[in-house]
Order: sequence, then structure tokens, then C-alpha cells
Amino acid sequence: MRILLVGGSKSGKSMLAQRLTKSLHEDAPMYYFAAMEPVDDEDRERIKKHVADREGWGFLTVERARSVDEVTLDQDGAVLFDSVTALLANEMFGDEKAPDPKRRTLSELNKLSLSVKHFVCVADELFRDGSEYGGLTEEYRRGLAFVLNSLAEEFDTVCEVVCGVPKVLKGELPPIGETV
Amino acid sequence: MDLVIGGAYQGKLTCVKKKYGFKKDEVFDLANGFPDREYKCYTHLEALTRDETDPHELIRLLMPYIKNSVVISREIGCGIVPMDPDERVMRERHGIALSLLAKEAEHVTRVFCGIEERLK
Repeated sequence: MRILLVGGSKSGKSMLAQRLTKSLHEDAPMYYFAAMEPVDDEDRERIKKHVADREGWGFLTVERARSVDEVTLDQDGAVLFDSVTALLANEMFGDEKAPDPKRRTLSELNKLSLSVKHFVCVADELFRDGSEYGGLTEEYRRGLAFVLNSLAEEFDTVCEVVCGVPKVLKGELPPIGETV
Repeated sequence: MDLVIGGAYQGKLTCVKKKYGFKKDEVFDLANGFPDREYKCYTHLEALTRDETDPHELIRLLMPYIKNSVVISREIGCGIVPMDPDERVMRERHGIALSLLAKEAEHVTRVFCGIEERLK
């Protein structure tokens, strides 16, 4: 099944995604797909924290910042994809800029998510603060909304995550496993 | 009156058009100012709360036009309270206007990632 988790920063999306992926994977491989490209020490610290959070869970880590659909994974596997927000930023602002980054991001995520048995992805909610950023930032926000609205239409389950608690807006959630 | 709210670019108008079957000329964009007549649907209420009208007065003036319609508005209250005092006052006006509308509305719906969530 394909699950989309959307929430504010530090809303507990990643931990919830870990628990869901773990409860879905059965005996097949479980992947943590990291799309964030670290640019500074703060990013590297964040990655360290996420790595520590996953220790002992049994995730195989895949690091890839763009063209994520070119990776071949076990078709019975379960993927935690972190995150839609990062992938679009890489496709839009990275060294190799994609010509139509939002459609490219959507198509990559669709392909990757259909190549495995279970796909849980997280994204940041950044649409309700009332500021108009203009320029590329606004284009990015509009692009992210396009990707998320499209994924929400396709995916089985969509949740808003608040304090690590999922609010189901579409479909059903599998049982949420324990933390390790 | 039905009120439909949600963050930027969440697909509010798309949802409303699909649900109510409104055509393009039945929707009035409040970014163009105050309505000249009654429409079935109004978008971008946040464009009107940008003006320095008292929100109670604004809703009172709007009510004859919107009482049998669907009003769509962006949610703007989350995130950092802005440094700019005008922006702060605007959010306050908008918050009051939305609360007044929600009180009068028969249904209040929030759109998140293109999915409707019934609040009232």
C-alpha cells in the first residue's frame, strides 16, 4: 500500500513513518530512502539524529537526491521515503535542474512507489502561514502542493500528522507498530 | 452559506467546483474587489481582509451577497507571527472574519492535499 504523511516540521512524521513501515514489511527488506542532500553542518547533524533514531530497526539506507526512480529495490520491499519536500527542492534548486521539476518529482515518486510492495512517504506542510514569499520560494510552494495533491489522489492513505499522531483524511492505516 | 478553508494551493476551488458543479462565471474572485452582484461562489476572501475595514463591518456588508453561496478562503494564521505590524493586524482581521463566517455557515469544510474534511 502507498501512504502519504503530511505535517509541520518536527511533527513526528518520520518516527510514525518508521513504525508504519516496520509494521508493513513482513519478512521483506525495509528501506529508508534518504533524499536530503546535506549542505551544511546543521543538515549533517539532522541526518545523524535520524540515523540514531533508526538504529536497531533493520532499515537498509538508500541515499539518493534525484532521479530516485532509477534505483532498483526488492519488489516485495517496504520503503520509507524521506522526503517529498527534499526531492522537489533537489530537482528545482540542485546542480542539475530538471526542466519541469514538479512533474518530474511526481513521476519519479509514482514510479518508485509502484516498484515496491509498500511505500510510506513524508512531506512538510508549509501552506498555512499566510505569507507570500514571491519568486522561486512561491514557485516551490506551488510545486510542492501540486505534487502532494496529485499523490494524495493516487495513494491509498493520506494522513495529516500532529504531534506524531496521524489524522486519517483518506483510506485506512495499518496497525502502528511499537518503537524499537 | 458554506465556508471552505485551507492552506495555499490545496485545491479548494477545484474541490468546490467538483462538488457543487459551478461554472467559471458563477465564481467571483474577491481579489477583484467587492462583488457587483450575487454569485454562487466567492474565492480569495483574504484579499478583502487585506483592506483596513473592520471585519464585523466587512462581513455585514458582504452578507447580502454571500448568504446563499460558497465562500472560499485561505488559512493564513499558522506560522511565525509576522514582524510587520500591518501583516499582524491583517491576520487578526482575517481570523475574526473567518470565525464570523463559520458561525453563520451551514457547513465548514477544510481542504488538505485536495481532500475535504468536514469541520461543521
